[in-house]
Amino acid sequence: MRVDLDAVASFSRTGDEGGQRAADSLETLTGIPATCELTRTTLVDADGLASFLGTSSERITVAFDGALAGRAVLSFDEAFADHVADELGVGAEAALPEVANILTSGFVDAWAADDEDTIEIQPPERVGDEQQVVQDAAIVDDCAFVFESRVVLSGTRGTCRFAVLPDVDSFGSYVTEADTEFSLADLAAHIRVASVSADAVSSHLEAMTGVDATLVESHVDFVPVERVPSLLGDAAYEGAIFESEGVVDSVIAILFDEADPGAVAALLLDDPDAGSEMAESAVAELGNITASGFLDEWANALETTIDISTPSHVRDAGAAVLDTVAAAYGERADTIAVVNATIELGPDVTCRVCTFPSPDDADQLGDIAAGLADDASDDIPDFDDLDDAGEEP
Amino acid sequence: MTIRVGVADWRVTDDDSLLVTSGLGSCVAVAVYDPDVDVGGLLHAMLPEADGPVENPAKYVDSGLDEMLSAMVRLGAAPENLSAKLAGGSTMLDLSVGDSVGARNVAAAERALADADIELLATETGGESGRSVSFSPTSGDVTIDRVDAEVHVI
Repeated sequence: MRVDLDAVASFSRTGDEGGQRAADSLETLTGIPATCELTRTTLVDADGLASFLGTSSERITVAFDGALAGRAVLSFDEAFADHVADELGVGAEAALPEVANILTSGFVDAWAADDEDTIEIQPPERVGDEQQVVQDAAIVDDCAFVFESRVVLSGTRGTCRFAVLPDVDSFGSYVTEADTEFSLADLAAHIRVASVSADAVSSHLEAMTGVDATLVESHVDFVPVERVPSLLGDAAYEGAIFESEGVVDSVIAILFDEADPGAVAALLLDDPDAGSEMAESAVAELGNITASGFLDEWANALETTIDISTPSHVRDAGAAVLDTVAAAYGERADTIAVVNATIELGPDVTCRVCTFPSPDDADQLGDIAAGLADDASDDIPDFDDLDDAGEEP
Repeated sequence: MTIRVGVADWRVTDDDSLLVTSGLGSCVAVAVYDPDVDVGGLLHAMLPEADGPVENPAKYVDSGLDEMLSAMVRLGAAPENLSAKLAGGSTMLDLSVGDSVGARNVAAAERALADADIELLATETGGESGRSVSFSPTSGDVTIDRVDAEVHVI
């Protein structure tokens, strides 16, 4: 299976330009400097789409149609909503639809820019029916496509999360016009890499710690390298970084967001007074077992092996860790794939796994995705066979 | 007001705003200001040098600094009055890819500032940990924050 990463990168770039135009439009409306911190083209497991989109009391959807059709779902946190309402001198009830309108207009302009066609947007509506938003999403082979931008305003820590869910037929036409070789189904198969990896991470964490592990969500991002640090933000994480070598070279970050420092080590060590060296070693070992667990799944898909390096222990801001990985790849590619999983380990620890396959190995990653998708289809009973089996000779 | 500077981004100001950026690993933050007119700019660059024209100049130290200095001059800064401070460029991870990006970013920033005849007043670079930076162009202070460490001002 071959998915041209350059083609995906071009959508990510268009999405990024759209996110920046949206931020510029908002800055013009409010007079407050606005920045687009993150834009990503994301493949989300259809079952996890609602979790991925998150919940917020302030959500607005804006439908659009034309050169690209679909809908934007805008989620405002309280700080952002209050700030724009104050700045515009009206209540949130009036301000947020106006902001949603401006952001969506700015975003779709980027997608219509190279097309003689135009994109018309509909009046904003408050999200009332959660399921309807998910049902309308573009889903191919259980994989949903989402373009997400996060816009921040200076002077507040608030964020607007701006997710665009294209209509599947419209998006399919759009991408094949841009690149006749491009296959949405081949791209969609990459979601198997994320879901298989997340399941493996979850089961290995549970086995190692004896604590219930809950898979929150898994997805694959295609991100411009300079947006990668924003995937984690400024919170401090403790964890381990590995490199893998084999059919796919990659950098793997297994990072724990602890409610209390030392919470992960406490799950592994009997002695609460064990030294910091022992605690670091325990966290690295947990990361090692976890990373090996899902890399084995990747290797098995191609009947090969993938080796893993000794870990580097980190305790630092998540964004700074990812910044270092992104810069390392930044001289080789403008856009990179990131395989993500979020797992809750008991009430006090959240594990974030970000795997960065080398952009030089995009074809091999596609082969792994195809192999895992084949394995999954082997698990599904073939209804024709069942029917045949049920017939008397 | 606090103005956020993203990754591969720069912002300039001519008032008493604070320019802030976070998540500096191997990236560098280059703070430049003209104390006579209180015009300042903060660049958060990811890579050392652009190889020809690029889509986003702010991704690179050399092209990003060029672009930011032009914007500062448009706000009234005098090129001969500019001073700079530099932070970032850590080597947090020992990766086989991206050989010494942090150190090369620091060297590129020092070189680009020297080429522009801008005095580099202070630096806080290298090491193994990430940084968040806030810069006050009116005082010239660059405040550096790290996880598990005391705040440091240069």
